[in-house]
Amino acid sequence: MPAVDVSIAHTDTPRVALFATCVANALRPTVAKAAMRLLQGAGCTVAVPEQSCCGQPAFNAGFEEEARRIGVALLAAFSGFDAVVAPSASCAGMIRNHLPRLVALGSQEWREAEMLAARTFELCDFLQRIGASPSAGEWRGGPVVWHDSCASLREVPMTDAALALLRQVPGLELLLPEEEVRQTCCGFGGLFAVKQPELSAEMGRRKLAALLAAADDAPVVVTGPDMGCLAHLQAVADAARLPVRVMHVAEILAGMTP
Amino acid sequence: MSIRSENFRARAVAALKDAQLQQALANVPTGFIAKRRKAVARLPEFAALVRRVSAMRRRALAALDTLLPRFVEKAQAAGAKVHLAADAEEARAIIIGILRERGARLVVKGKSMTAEEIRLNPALEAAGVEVVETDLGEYIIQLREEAPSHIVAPAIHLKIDQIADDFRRAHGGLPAQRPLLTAEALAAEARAVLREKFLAADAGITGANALIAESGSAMLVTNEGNGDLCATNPKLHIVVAGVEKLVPDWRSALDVARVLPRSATGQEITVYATFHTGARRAEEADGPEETHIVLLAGSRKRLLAGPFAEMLTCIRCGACLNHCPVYQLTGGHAYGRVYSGPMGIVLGRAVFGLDGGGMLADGVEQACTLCNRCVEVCPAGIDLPALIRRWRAQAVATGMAGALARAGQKLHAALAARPKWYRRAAAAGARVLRALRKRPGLARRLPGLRDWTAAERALPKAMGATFLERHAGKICQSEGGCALPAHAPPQTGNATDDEFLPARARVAGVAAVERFVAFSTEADAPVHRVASPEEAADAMARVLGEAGLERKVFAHPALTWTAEKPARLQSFSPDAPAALMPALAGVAETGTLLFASGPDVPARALLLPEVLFAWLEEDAIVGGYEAALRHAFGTAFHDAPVLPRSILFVTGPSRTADVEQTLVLGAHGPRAVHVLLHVPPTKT
Repeated sequence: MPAVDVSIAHTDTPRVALFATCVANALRPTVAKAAMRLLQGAGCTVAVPEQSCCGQPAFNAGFEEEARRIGVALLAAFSGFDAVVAPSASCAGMIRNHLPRLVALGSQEWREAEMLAARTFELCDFLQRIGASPSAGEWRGGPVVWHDSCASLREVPMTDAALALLRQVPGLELLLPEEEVRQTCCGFGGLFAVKQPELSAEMGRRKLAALLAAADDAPVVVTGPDMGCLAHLQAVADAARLPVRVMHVAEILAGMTP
Repeated sequence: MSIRSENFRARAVAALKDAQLQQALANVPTGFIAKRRKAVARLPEFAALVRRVSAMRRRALAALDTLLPRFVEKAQAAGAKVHLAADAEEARAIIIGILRERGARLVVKGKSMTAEEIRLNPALEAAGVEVVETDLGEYIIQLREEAPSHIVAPAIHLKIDQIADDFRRAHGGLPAQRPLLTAEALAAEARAVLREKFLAADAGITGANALIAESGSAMLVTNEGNGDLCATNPKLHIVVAGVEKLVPDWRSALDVARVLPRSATGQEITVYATFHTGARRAEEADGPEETHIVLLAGSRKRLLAGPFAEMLTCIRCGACLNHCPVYQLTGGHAYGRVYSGPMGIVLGRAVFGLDGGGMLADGVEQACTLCNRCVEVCPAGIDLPALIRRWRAQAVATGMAGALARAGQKLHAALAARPKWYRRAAAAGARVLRALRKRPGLARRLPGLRDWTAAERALPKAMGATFLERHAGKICQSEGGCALPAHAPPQTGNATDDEFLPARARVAGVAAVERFVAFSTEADAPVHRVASPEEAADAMARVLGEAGLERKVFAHPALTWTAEKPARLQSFSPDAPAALMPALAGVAETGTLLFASGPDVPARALLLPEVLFAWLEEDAIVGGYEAALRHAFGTAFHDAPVLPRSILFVTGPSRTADVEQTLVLGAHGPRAVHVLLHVPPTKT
């Protein structure tokens, strides 16, 4: 792919910034790579500015001053782009719903935060809005069970968009768990996973049992919009030796294999 | 189960290991959640109704300083005495004072979370008063000397065999062969024991689900009928509630009565939605000679002035508990307070105070994944996760967050504020994590990873390289060109429609009659069309015969029949097998009957007999509760100088589901309700 430095790039087409997100960046770089491919495939000019975190771990733990500090850095990182796209409903939700409330109302930072919130999108939501299609060829990974993240249901509703895109992947058999399973948290919850590990892991086990039941306990790929939930579910599945492999929805849409 | 541990995490682990508790909790999602979902699906206007209740609750709290004096004035004019308590201690002292002055020795109690909150029972017992909880769930936990584990279903943590053991222990002389292992048997046993207590009690204490400022009335929504027996049978009735229960008017209270049961148990309406105003009127057949209303005022007003004021809009439905993934695993006792689940995290600490038992120090504010499901189901629209975050922020501000967490957060923020450093730190971290996969023993000793792996969870799989070390600072041109979406979608609006009433409450005429009959039948109150009291007598004789009951009916004097088929009781006695009482209106919305106490209608006659027959004129069937009140009392009823002491909306026979969520009809009130729908012969 042709790559140039952000600072010297000149382009007339809209510039989309990719927000890789911490978990994907550190644990699963292929998620961000997949997101980049999908955005490019849709005709976007994609930039990856120097960036860090959305501030959610600090915000949710009650460290408001730290969250504000991180948020202000985020404003600087993503200024000057026409849209910011994240392969995570959770991180996109932090920017969209919470960041503007962390800075002083009416301040310059607040104006910037509101503007950033208005142009930040979760990946699948963005792809569907611009009419993009998945670039994946024939799927050969076996049955795929959808795992909603709480953020994808209740912070940045995007499940319908993700499911519509997944259904365009040829050969992909998509299984949806029953409604109550879909609505119930998997127990990741960010720092909840380490503050209440016993509850977190038990919620994960119950979730996995229900997801596997949706596939009649056959080996499955579990996919969803948030790498945090998926990493947690994989860790629980590995410890319990369950036949589960997780894949981020972007990886499937971009044609990667399990 | 160890609920006395200092630490939420330890209590949660104990709850996870308690097999009996886990079995009991397994009923929650299939029970409450499915029922609520069904009820919501049946009422298309539910979301709009919730928005209206939410807005009303906020307005009411903002107007508390005008609503409270109005309520006090109206309640006192109707014969009640209102006491404003500064805090829990003063509320207890006021109640004990009232009981002492009248020499009350035996008190029956309706279920009240406010009474639980102020720890009323131990105080009354210390003062030498015998207190008997009469709600089946509360009665069970009183026998076990436990706190409620759920604000709506106090005994939801128990299995039936545990309850049967408690009954055998407490009710001396139960024959060993007497089966007690069905919910019906347990409810029948409690009914028999508690009936004696109701009749012997010197005083009744209840809570209130709403306090109506425009008329000084207290609304009570219950299913068993026990609350209304507490409120009408003893000669002294004491209401205990927080001032946050104030609502401006009847209409607001009725909206609460619409959303609360649907949110709590998935019922369209509770069996009883009743309104008690003042004390017994001189001309009425029964009712308490004295009513006292004890309001928690000072402590609630302090809450209202603080950062957790929004919590006071809570209507105590328990939906946030039922839908909470943490509550579903731990039950209520792990929260260490009488309030549990998301609302309990927020309210528990707020009402018990920082010094009241270390709510922050026990880490209960961490009992939440911030999944937001509670906000979605809250009928008051309370942003519980935001309030829980606020408690976490208070924990941080008061130095309770722990040195390691604080240092970690500070380091993370310092790095995140410098993206290039952050990128390098993340790259180093990813490599360490990958290397640690070969040294799991070491990983288990590192902070963070130690906790991650503490509960049968493998190390996260890191790929080793990070995305940003390869791609940061890059831009990739694309051949094509994409059109950007204009803006992120707006968040869902929350306009309120003040003229809103559910469509099913707006029907009239034949449509209303049809709806009424359908909903009444569904609520287990069969409808018999009769052309005259003679025909009604035939129907009553048939029903009583089939039920194997004596054919004796206490009837309103205006309803006469000649034949002796059912004998007519001249005066009401608590052992009358049946009563025939005129309903003032029928409500199509939910198949509900409207009654009021009066000279010839003892409130007890609606509650104590085995069978309640309701005489209902066909042209008294209207769409909604509001129309029923207008039909019965005229348009300006809420400004009437004297309302009946008790106004009761009754939907079907008394019921309980306090034992393993199994429905049993006939908890304390009638086991059967039959509607005798009077259709004049000219119309047939």
